[in-house]
Amino acid sequence: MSVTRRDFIKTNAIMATAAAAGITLPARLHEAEAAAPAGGIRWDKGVCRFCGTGCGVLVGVKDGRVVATQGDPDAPVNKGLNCIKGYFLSKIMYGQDRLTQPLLRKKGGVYDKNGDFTPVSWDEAFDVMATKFKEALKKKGPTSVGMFGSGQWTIWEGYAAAKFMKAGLRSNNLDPNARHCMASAVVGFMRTFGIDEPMGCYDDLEHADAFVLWGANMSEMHPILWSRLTDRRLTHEGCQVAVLSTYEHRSFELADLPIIFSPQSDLAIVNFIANYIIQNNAVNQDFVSKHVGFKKAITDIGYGLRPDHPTQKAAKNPDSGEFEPLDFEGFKAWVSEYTVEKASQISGVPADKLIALAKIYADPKKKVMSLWTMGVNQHTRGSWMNSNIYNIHLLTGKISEPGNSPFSLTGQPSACGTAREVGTFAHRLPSDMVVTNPKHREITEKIWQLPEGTIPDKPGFHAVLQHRMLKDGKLNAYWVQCTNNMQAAPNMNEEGYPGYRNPENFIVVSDPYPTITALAADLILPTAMWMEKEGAYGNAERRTQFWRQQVKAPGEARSDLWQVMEFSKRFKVEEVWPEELIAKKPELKGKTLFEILYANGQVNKFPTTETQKGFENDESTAFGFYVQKGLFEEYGQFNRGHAHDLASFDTYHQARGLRWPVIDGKETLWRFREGYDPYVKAGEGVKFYGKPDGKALIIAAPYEPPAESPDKEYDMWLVTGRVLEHWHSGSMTRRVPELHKAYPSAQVFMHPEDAKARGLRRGQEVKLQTRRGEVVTRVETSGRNKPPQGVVYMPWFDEGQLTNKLTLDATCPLSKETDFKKCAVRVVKA
Amino acid sequence: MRVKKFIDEEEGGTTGEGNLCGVFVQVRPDRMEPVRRELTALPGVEIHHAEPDGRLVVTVEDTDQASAGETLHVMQGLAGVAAISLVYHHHAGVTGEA
Amino acid sequence: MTGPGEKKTVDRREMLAGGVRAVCGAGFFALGLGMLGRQAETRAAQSLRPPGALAEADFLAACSRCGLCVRDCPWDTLRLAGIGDGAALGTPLFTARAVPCEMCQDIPCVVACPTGALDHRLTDIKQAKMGIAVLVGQETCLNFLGLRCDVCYRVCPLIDEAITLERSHNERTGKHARFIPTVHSDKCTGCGKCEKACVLEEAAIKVLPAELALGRLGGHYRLGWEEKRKHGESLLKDIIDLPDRGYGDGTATPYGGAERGANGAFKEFKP
Repeated sequence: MSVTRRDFIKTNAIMATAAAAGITLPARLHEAEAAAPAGGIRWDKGVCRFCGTGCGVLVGVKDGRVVATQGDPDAPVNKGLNCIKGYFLSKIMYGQDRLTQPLLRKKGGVYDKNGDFTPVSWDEAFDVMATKFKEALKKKGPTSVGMFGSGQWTIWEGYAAAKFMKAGLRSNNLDPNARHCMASAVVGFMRTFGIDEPMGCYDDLEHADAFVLWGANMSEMHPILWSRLTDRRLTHEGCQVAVLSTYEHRSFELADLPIIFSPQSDLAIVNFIANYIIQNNAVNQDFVSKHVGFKKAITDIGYGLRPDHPTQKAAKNPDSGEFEPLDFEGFKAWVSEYTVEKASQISGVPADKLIALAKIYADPKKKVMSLWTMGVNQHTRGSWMNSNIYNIHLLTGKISEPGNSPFSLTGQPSACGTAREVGTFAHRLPSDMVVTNPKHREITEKIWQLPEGTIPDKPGFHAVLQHRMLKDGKLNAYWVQCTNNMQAAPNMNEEGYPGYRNPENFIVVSDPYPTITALAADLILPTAMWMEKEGAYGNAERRTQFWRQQVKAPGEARSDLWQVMEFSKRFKVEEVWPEELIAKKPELKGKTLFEILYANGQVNKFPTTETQKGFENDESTAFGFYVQKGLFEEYGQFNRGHAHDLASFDTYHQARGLRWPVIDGKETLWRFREGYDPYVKAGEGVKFYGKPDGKALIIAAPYEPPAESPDKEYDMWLVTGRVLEHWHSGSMTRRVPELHKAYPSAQVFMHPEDAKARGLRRGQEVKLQTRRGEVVTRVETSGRNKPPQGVVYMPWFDEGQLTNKLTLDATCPLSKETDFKKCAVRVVKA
Repeated sequence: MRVKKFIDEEEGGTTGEGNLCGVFVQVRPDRMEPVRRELTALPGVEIHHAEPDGRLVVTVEDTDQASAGETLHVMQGLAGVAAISLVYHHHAGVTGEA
Repeated sequence: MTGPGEKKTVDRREMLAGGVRAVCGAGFFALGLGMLGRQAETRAAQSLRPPGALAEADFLAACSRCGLCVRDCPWDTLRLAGIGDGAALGTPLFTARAVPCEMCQDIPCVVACPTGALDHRLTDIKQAKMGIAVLVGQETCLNFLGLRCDVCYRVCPLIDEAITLERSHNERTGKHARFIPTVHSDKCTGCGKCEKACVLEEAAIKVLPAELALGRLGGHYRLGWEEKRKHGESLLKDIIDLPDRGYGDGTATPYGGAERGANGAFKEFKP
């Protein structure tokens, strides 16, 4: 028991006793409770564990326990504020059911796929796991092993895992949960600009004259950024806010221009705006002629479904990301079919509202910030839609300067810093490089000191494909870290669950808590979380933020980083690499993957004495060198000098987060513009240097219908998403009693007329049914979300009501990101 | 009275780790000073308040030398102690969570 | 009182109750009863009546303590008052922080009432007046402090009607807005969902009986603008107004130099 808690209890004891005795105590005794926590707490900087905003926090530790947190009053993002999840950060590590020992399914003392979870030692856990991975490698080769990671991994966890999978086991079957979240944004960036991540930053919020939300409920999902946006709206005269969505949510409260459009029709709206800009001579001709090129996307590209799905079979050019040539005149002619009448007819939005929205972009005096997250990314044409938004900013030249900013908000705390920048995707390598490019593989192998040809040249299985391959028995040894993907991934009934329970497969899940993913696995590894390890996250505005290990993890829980590195010791290079590869670098003979990947003279360069005095660093103690520093400095070789420049490791421990590229000791706030971005030379003005010709691309991409639309049988749209009180699947926030109480169970939000037509009353139990599954929940006809008729909204945080039994695993064919916002459902009495 | 039951349980072998008791002690006013001295000398005992009429607010905790139950037992036997009443009892579990 | 090995946090109420029991055991009966009396006074504000309850005196006269409303409450919100609940024994009540009213559309508790203590004319639950939510903890409410909690707002069954978020500039950070939860007494039913959901250790928003929650103007004073609105025009007729010399009569130009913003309000003066 901590002293703080003890003092509090003692105060209770004294007060109770005095009250019973009829004694009035002096005031100082009553105050003991409040006074106790103030003393003896060590405060150090940290980052919020939840969304991509990246709020700075101070973490208070006493007697080896995080006893309090506070918003960091000097953090530029949040200035001491937090949302309600951040307010309860100090409680997320202390849920009653923290996992403290590895648990293996066993029957009769040995591993059995259908056995009961039995506590085992780390040694036994890794023994069984190594056997299973080696079996799969031997039988079917590197494509039969895989790993699923996270945009909530720390930077070095992602980096160590990428090395382990792509170089060590020579499998590109590594994908992060950011695939469900930011993949379309990445493809949009790469197609339009040739380089990932936003050109602007949060400072745009204080400079814009108008804000357009294209599919983001910032009020609930980015609460602190929303309070900055709201403040701008309140204090800047003439400031306008337009909110677009398929249902009315909390952000509509501030909307000057509220727009409800029918699902998928945002493609028509954004193309109409491009047409309006051209028709009304609002094109910034000078900007377009100097800095913009044009292409036309190949169309009819399918829906990322299994190849034998009828909808997929009907597509003419499935999965094609190819272009046809185009110029400004060609684009003008192509987009002219998107008249206001046509856009209004497809979207159901009145013409005057569409024109009002187009005028915001067309007015050359208005600085516009467009913001979006999952409404645009989780979209079967998400990659197109991302680029289409850039189209209207490029046509008007409203980009790369304060207040003019197309801004792709991030969902997770390190979707940018880890998943994207480190490149933990099935097709990627660090610093925007890809496995299919021989030059990129060569650079990577050189920095990693590996023989040429180590990294396989074919992209691995992406998130949705991993579940399909598990089900089909082609992916057999599988490790999931730092994510609850059984609950998060689409179509659980038909793909995820059968994949995990396929008798051919061995599934390992590392998590601090027994999530449904862990409980569907064969081996559960207990994980150290958040402040129980030294960490680094990169937020949505390219800000990299570090923290030190503040406390020890309970029991035998170990960080994901330790798990990956320790497990790598179980593999001799001869067991995983072919002879001819080893022959290219004979000095590697007989070594373990740990020695090749981590004890390689670079990663183990910094001694443990360089870790901060007074703080634990469990990984460094275990391996005998400053692990995090070594990994980060090796990783730095990828991005320094390549427009992703990160500062030195030690600098980040001193600063409150820095926005890359960090060059000459300065952060970069706006990219691609002279004066702000050191990669743009004097006299160039603007340069989109991600593309060889320095020009960003306007890509013509049309409206195409969704993968599944309501019909007679399943007559409504189902939209899924989050709520403010809970983070993703609720594995942390539902273990905070106050947050659980604030939003205990999921519910389905429904229009009152739709409820009436089905004979349903508010609060009544109902079944949601799709072609894939059924979920029982309760009807809410009022409250925070107000869908129009024909649409229902259901959050997915509640493991008692698994929303993803219902969803369809249709993806954007280019980004492979699932469309969690559209499928056909019916609602009936339970 | 709960004190008796509690002492029985404690001495009956249940773990004594983490007990914290709020105890109301009544002392003959003329014996106040010696009793206060004797109480203070007992392990895990703190006097938080004393009224001149002999009413004391005391907490008793487990220590390495004695469990709270044992200490309460000793307190009962001190000369000048008229009555002790267990008002509040807290027991910390193994995890330290309360 | 908590037995050995049991895990339980002790709130003030349990603590007092525990104190009472211990003292009784030690023979201080009179003292115990005295405390009970005091407790009753302080608890009354948190004991809310079911929807449709008549004014307290009439309600107590009409309620036969039959318990049918409690029996028919599908959410176990309602219970019968016991000793120490601060309400007449056996009368129905609920404590919002423990179990709030779920606002059933068919109001089964009112339907069940055989005596009319719960007024059968209440057929629309949105018209219920079980109490009024009041944001009492203005120094602890997270939204007042600038954080983004607003849990009370989002759980409100009449969101944007009974509770709205009033926006203001956060002077301290200079770049964030504060979202102040504001209860509108004409819409609030007193269901208590907000008090239940408040994430603070002691709720900053509490439902109080209407007579405690609302201030009351003295009968000797009326709001002139409200009276005029109700009346449709000035209460006085046939009052004449003489023109002002030099203002609006064409003989002098009135001062009109102040700039107005888009919303018609004067712009802030900036030299």
